[in-house]
Amino acid sequence: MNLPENLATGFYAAFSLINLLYCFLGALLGTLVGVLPGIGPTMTIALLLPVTFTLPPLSALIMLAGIFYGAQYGGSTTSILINLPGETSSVVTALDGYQLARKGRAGAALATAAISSFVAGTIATLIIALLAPPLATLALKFQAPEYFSLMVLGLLVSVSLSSGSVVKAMGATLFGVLIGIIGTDVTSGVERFTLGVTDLYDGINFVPIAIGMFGLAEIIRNLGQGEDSSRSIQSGKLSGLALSGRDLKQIVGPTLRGTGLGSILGLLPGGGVVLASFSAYAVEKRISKDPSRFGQGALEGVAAPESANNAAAQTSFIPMLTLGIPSNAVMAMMMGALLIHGITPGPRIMTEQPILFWGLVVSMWVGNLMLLVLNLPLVGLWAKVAQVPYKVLFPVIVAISCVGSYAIGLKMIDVFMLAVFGVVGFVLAGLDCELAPMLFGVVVGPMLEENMRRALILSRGDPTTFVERPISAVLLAIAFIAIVVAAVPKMRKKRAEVFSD
Amino acid sequence: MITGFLFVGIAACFALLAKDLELGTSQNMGPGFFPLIVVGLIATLGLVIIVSALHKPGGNANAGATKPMMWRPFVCIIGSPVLFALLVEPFGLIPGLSLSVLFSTLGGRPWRPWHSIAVSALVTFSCWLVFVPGLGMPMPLFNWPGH
Amino acid sequence: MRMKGAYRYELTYRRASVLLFAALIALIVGVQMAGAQNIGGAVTIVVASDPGAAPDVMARILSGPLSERFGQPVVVENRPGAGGNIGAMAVSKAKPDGRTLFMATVNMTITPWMTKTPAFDPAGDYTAIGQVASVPMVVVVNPALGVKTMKELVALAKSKPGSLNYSSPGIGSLNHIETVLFERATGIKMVHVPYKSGAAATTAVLGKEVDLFFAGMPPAVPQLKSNALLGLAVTADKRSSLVPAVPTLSEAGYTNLESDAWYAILGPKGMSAALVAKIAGALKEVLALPNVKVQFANSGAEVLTSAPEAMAKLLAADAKRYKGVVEDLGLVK
Repeated sequence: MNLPENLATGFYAAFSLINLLYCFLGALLGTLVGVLPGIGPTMTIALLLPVTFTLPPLSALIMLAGIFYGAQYGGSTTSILINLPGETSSVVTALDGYQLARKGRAGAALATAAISSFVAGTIATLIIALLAPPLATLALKFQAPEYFSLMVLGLLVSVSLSSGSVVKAMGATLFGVLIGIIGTDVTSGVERFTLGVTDLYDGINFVPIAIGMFGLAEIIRNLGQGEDSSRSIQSGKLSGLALSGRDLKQIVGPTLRGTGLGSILGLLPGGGVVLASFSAYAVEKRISKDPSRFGQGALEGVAAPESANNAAAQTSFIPMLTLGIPSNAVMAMMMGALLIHGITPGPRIMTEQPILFWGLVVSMWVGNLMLLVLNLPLVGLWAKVAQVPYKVLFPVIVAISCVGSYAIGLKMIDVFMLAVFGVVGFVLAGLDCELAPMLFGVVVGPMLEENMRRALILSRGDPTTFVERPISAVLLAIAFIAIVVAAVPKMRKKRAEVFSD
Repeated sequence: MITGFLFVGIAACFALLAKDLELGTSQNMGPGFFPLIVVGLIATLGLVIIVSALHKPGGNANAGATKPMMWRPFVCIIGSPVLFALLVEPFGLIPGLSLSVLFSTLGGRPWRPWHSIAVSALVTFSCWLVFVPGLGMPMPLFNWPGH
Repeated sequence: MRMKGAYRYELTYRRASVLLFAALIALIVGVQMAGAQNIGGAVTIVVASDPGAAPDVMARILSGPLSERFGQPVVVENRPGAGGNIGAMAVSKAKPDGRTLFMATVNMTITPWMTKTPAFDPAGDYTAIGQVASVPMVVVVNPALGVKTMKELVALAKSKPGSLNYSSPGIGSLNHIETVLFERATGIKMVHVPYKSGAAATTAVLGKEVDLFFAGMPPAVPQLKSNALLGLAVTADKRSSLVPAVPTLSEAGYTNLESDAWYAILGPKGMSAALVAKIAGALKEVLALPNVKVQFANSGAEVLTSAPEAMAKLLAADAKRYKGVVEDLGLVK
């Protein structure tokens, strides 16, 4: 593969004035849309789809792609500033990002998000350029047993997302799993836990759950402090917006690790940006020398998920472009857009449509660069949001939560769920139960069950399928080791306690 | 300890809702199999919490967070989306949003009526601007009931 | 970035960015307003699927040209859920004033029968305006399976009963039902593995997780064109122009099993004949446009128009047919 030549083709195509303009428009629109909860890249791309029919295919793709990864940038902004995840992949960023904002370090958090996203985007672009075909075939190797084992590993890792009691975290995760199960069961077609409500047949939408539990619950707590709501959420002065050398050193590792993890998870159909950001955070916390810093405002807790979700957003293009398999709804629409233009994604796309493929790849990097240049200076402006008097800020948060939730499907139920999960979030947080594991359970639980049952159907009821297949076995082994490693020190401590009595 | 009871309670609720689901066998799982396992695990964890809380003598300094319940913010912030959901379809976006935002501002203290009205108006206008012309969402602005 | 000079630089940079931001918001709003989003007078096409799915894409393709002919903006509204029931129910309750239209698929004649009390009556609650497209299904297998024709597939299935797996986008989907009807007609026994979507079901064949899939055209087209998957037959009565090498089921030796996923525009019941004629006329013009045809074709659909009366008959016939099938297959919950 002649990389320099291909990249040159790509640069030439991507740097045409038209394509630069569309790249910028897409990235900007994506950022704006990412900031708003409820409206996401999926909906925006759908709305703009007819517009792209009239555009040349490369420009159309460039713009749509810009919207997608731009939304990952934007989603972190509201997560950090007002504890309101603008995108589901930014939920984890809120855990540490918002705490940083409260301490006056919103600028540092936002800058970290921007920089780590850019680094991830750059590396992911290189990965696509070099490894697209082999990675695509790797994606195909993942079948039901492998997904199951991955989900098991994910759930175990998610329990370590919490700083408090492990038992409570496990319970919260399992509660999340039950919430996630609500709806129609794929394998049998039966409705579960829906109480006969038609609107619940497809389950509860993730967005109202996330913004209710994080955003609304936080508002209640803030108002309940009893202070004059003319103050702002930020306590203390707004410290430097820049990142010190020490800060930068702190975020290098998490960024790189997040990129790696995100790149792989983005490939898997059904994996995606949410899984990537949650896992990156959990991994980072696990290997950190001082895990107690997480949840209090650790920069690593922002760098890891942000780099992961950006990397995942970009590598999710690989299966779509090279195999014609969309890994998520956005990719499905891009594929639709490509097909309408008469371009068929598939293994030959790199040779048959080199301008399209390489132009897109290069423009993804260009878009990331534009986003960095656009967002870094705005960090100061955004950080000021944390200083807005709360009595003005919180009605805004409530309003965009309501409208955003309604905008998903124009259904009342989503707004009701917003209220319900505001209650849930408030209650759980009041009991010192952590919220992130529960959200992870909502996402992962149903996938775990679906794949477990599917694997058993395919193996005609033989459970050894999970350990016979190499990838699945490896994943389960890692999960097992993780439990042992976590449990042994505890057991030793218990034994020491018992013996010291 | 309250958490423990909560867990057991949740488990009981979901178990009740799942009682009609077929279990199937472990080789050929039905829709009720997995929920049963999950419910069982939650109940067990709940019991573990309750039991270990009973064992700790007087260590419940933080039991269930006995902070005074913040009723006013709670009602106003939770009530706001409920109000919005009920109003938006019969009455449209503008009345629905402005009234529910107005309601939410009751949660902040001290309550200044003019301030609330101003904020609701501004917020409603901005949201309309961003969502309807800005993003082209087909939301009805004004409606009469029974439309 | 820690020097004072840098801070001043940041300030002006910041001001410029703010202005730019504001300008851009104004631009976006302006563009939208120029597009005359007078929602009060708009015509809404309700789509009972997520954005990006086939009916959604088709509705969006039609919305532009239709709004030119109506002289009013045409907006697509996504109301996904419950296998299409949510969208269908929303339309059945709307006023028959021509402002609310429905991008219906054949699924609406299947899903109501799957619950003891149907959520709506496919034949009675709607006014048929006209069919817009037909999207046949194609039986796809992974080349590694070793069969090249439908007959070979059936032979393989007979030699190993209960060992072949087939995927579908969900229990009760047209794809699932067709496969079961095929099984019955040929006397073979296979195992059903449901997935969440057509794309997932197609990926399953690609990854060799299952052996075959009665796929809808849209997710299958890229795979067939790149020869990653092999098409054994199409379920329509004539070959598809997208994959002309694939024989029809009749040609492959299996008659009376044709089925067609039709896409049509409907309205709520009680629309006046004049209104129906007006919309149907506009629809017919739009569907004759060459670029619409091409865009539909690229998405896997063949444009196929029909008059309102013919569509109404098709709707009623399919509603009756699938009611019987669903009950027969024991899919009622």
